[in-house]
Amino acid sequence: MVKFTVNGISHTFNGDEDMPLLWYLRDEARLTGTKFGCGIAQCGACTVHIGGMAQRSCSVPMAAVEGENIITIEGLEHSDRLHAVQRAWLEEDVAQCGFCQSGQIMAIASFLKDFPNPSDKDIDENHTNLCRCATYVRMRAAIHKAAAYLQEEI
Amino acid sequence: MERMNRRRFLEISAAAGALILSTPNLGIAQDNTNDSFANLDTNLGLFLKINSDESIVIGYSVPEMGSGISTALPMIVAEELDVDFEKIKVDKLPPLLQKSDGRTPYKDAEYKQYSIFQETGGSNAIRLCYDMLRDAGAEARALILKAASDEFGVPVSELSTNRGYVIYDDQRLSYGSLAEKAASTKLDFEPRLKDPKDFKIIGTEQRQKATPEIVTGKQLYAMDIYMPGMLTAVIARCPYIDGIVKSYDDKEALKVPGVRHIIRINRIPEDRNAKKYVADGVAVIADNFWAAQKGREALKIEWDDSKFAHVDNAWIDRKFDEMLATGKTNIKIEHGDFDKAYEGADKKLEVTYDQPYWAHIIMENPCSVVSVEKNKVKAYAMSQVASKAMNELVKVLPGYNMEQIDITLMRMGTGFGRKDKVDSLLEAALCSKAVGKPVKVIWTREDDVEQDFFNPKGRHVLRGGLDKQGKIVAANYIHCTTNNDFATHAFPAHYIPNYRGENIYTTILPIGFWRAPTENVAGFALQSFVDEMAHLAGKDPLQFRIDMFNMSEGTPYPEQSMDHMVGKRFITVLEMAAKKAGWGKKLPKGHGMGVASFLTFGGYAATVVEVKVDNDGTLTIINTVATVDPGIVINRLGARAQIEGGTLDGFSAALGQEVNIEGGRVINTNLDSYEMARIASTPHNFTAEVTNNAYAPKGMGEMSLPPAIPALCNAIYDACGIRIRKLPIADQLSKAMRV
Repeated sequence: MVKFTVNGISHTFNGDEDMPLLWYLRDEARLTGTKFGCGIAQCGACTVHIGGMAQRSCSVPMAAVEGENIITIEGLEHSDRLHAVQRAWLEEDVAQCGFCQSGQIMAIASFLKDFPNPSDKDIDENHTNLCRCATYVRMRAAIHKAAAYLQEEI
Repeated sequence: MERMNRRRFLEISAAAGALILSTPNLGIAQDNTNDSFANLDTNLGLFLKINSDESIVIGYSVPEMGSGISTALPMIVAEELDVDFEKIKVDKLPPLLQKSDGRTPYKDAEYKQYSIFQETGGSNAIRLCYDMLRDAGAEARALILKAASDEFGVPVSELSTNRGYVIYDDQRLSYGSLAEKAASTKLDFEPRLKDPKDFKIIGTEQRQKATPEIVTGKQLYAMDIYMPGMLTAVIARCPYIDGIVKSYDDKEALKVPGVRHIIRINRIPEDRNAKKYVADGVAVIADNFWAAQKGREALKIEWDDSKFAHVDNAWIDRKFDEMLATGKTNIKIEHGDFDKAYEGADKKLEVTYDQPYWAHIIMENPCSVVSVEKNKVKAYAMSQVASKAMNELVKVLPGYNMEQIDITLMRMGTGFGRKDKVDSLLEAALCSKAVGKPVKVIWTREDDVEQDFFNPKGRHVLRGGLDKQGKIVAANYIHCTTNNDFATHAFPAHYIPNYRGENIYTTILPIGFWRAPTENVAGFALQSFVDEMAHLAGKDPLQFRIDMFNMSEGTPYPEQSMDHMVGKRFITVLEMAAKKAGWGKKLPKGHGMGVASFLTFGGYAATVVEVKVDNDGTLTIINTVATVDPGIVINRLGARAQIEGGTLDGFSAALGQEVNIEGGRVINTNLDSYEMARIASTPHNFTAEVTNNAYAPKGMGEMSLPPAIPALCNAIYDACGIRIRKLPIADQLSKAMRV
């Protein structure tokens, strides 16, 4: 049995521990904001936070989440306030189809912990999620805006 | 359609104090002439609904795949209605079909879309919905004015409206308070459309209505639907091009915990001489995705690969050589005498451009949910075309008729033409029918690429002749390709006095629409060719184009509902992009600038790109300016989003995308081997511009892609003298620099 928390709530899992976390979140916990894109950790649509770090949940087996605290897009906002990255995404009107954006937002929320004031080069070198609509121009603007919001919150 | 005819479809009904101006809420309209529609007050079905609590919902008829149509279409209604757009809600209308009269674009289809356009593709939605949506808004506003005139006891002429209120002198009444009365009012005057000069919503910047749901993960796509008792299917499809299942052994697969059923899915159509729609395969149906996936891995299947086992990309290239050597082409457009003019030309150029198959890589893999029940069918589909989804679905369910099908067209995680096909929907229907439970069919990324309907691989042979003044007097374009297509009227066809366009084709991989079909590759070939001709003439590539467009005004262009191609619109977008990018300025060493322009689905587009090519061949896109003239622009923020995405989509295709075939099957089926651009390839300076004019509105989804690729290639030539004549660019520059 695997015990862990998702968005602050305790979960236990008794099934096939090879199953990726992505499919637990979607098929069992019905947290469908986390998306399936490639299954091999190349696109990032399934990005969640495990212990505060961005991880591609399609490639994390259930056996590896014992004792972990997992945050999904549904749990990113706190105290009924959108996370700075979510607000920046709204204001910059980043999304087109929207399918990859949960993963983008989760990846950037984690990235900004390591790069609180990122340069474009930092973004280019560290952010590898795929957006098939290629919303990258606005995404870049939103990342800088989110960084500024987070600075204000400190 | 005549104005009064259109209005006939805008039925009015009152439901619980709401004003509903609606296309009929029957899933199916029984026939063409039926003017009496019942059931107007059930579920949404609404074109426009004004509740007495002041909330306003505007329905949109076209499925959303990310092009922003679910925001842009309601803006048109809201403009004429005169409401505060930020306060209105939007919702997808259910599909409305009627029996086909045989005049639809899909002649074999039993049903066609009813009265209002319900497709996303060909950049058509704005173009084909604009007039009707203005009428709908104007009609609702007129009804509210009429109701207000009764309330105030004054003629309509003394009333005005402002953002959801009717104003009389210093008094005002809200639309919501008038809704019930308006719904039972009869108009005794013709609603008047606004003068476009007075637009307050059309032409503004509005954020996408769905974004609050998207950034919180609440937006639902087909893959997010879970019906009670639903099973999940993963299907092993024949990986060989148009191969079939010879035999299979499911003993081990059935032992996988959670696997419930294993069934055959037969190729659709069964006639192997007809184009494949649904692949031949074996479906593993299980409690969840993971069990189904493990079950599929445990299947043992012997495939019949005989049809195309000999095919790889090099084989197709040799096939192109042979096809071109026969000279048996189809002439698609011809004027003047190319052969004679070319013979007598002062300077000549013959060049060949090659481009590979591209896959769609839709962000959301194919996925559909269907529940086939005793007397009804419930389906959740990803489909760009409502009528195709329903017509195809009813075909695989003998014994069911269209009236029994309740289909929800979900927001799509991109489409790009791939979701014109509804193969996963048919698979889900076949699985559900076989097992008697709701079934979700999920495709993996590998399934998606391997079984795609690709953008055709092609070779473009161009010959051109210049006169002594350096003008193109003769050109010949032969498109040798893997699908029967040709960009007949693509620039510069009309601007060259002696021109012949021809195609020759064969069929190998399945082909489908891919953002700006045909134009996407014709743009690369033709706009690279024009650039090469400009250099041959010793002229500035921008001025060379402008001089060509100046040759004629209002060139006949009998495609895409256009009467004329207007040269000055081309010149405008070219000059805007060039000015913004600083065309002609002195560039640092290793930098270069390229320009291209193209007309796609009625939209004029120009792109200027600045690149840097290092001594080791490293390519950096420094700056990009992309300008589009689609006529009247509905949502300037959304329009720019499409320019940004379309341009970067073009760059991504040009830089690295290529479908690799070996031994009769596609082998680079996931994102570790099929190369897509990420944020690192996005230029740090990017300007997307839309023009501001009063030409009839066209769409935005596709225009910016065709010129993006040649502008990039032309910039590379300017930077380092290497001419890209084969896509993808990949490592061509570093290889050439080493020589």
